[in-house]
Amino acid sequence: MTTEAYLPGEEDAEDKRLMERVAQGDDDALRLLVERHHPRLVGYLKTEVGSLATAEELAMEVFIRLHRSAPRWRPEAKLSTYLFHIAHNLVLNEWRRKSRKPTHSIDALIETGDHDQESARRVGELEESFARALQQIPPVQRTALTFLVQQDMTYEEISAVMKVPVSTVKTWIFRARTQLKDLLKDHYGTR
Amino acid sequence: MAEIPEPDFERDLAAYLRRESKIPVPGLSLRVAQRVRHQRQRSRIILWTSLSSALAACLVLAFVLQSEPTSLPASVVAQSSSHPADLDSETDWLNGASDLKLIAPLMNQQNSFVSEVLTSTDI
Repeated sequence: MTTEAYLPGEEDAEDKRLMERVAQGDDDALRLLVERHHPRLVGYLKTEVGSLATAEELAMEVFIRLHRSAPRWRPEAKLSTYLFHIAHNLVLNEWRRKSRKPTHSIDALIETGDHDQESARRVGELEESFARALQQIPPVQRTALTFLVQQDMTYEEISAVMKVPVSTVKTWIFRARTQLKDLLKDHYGTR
Repeated sequence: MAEIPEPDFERDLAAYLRRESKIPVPGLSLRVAQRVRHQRQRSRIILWTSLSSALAACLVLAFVLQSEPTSLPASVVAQSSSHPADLDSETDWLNGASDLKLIAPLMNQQNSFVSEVLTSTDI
């Protein structure tokens, strides 16, 4: 994981240009931003809320909020960090609204490909076990781990998205991994 | 027959979480733009409605303030100022003066029911 300060790259410069156009009321720029960022956002939201329809609705809400705040937005961090911050807040609201933890459907996960039946069965079992185990760890730990592993975010980015110190992020991720290993000891042994 | 890979926690965790790392949704950008446009139109309607309501309220207020000194007909103003004795606020308290006129003969009469009630009632 990198610990460097935020240095804007070419992608970020393009995001900044598009945001300036969005702030001036350019709907085409907003559409381009949605095209650039929505697959990762929907992926994260689907992991958190379980349902693709809800994930799509929340992703739309993220971009509408982004559009509303465009005139006030300052490029102090990556635009994606800001988007994930909005998305994370919406996920927290969604959990509060439903007053239950997210559920996941374990359907159509197995891609047999080159594996034989035994291998496919094992992969299916493993994915089911991962889904169950992830439901048993605290939601903030799961979210931090999702940002790190699924979205390839740095600890600093996760800290900015979740508005907690970097040390807290590291602790959450360490605990998440430890608990997951413990819950999946049938598959990985007691290491 | 393909070889079954050895269990590796980190690799399997990454494989599980990354299978949904990116989910492209066709038409999402159009839907977002459409919703933004609707919200913009609604905001404009709300803005214009509140502006016109405020303007109408200002016009009504200005009209009322401008016309207030001459709003009463001249005859009514003259009548109220030329006969101040007719408006005795003390005797016409809660329009009671006309009622008192009706019961006055009975009040003056000794041992009447009305005088008994009036003397026994604390007001």
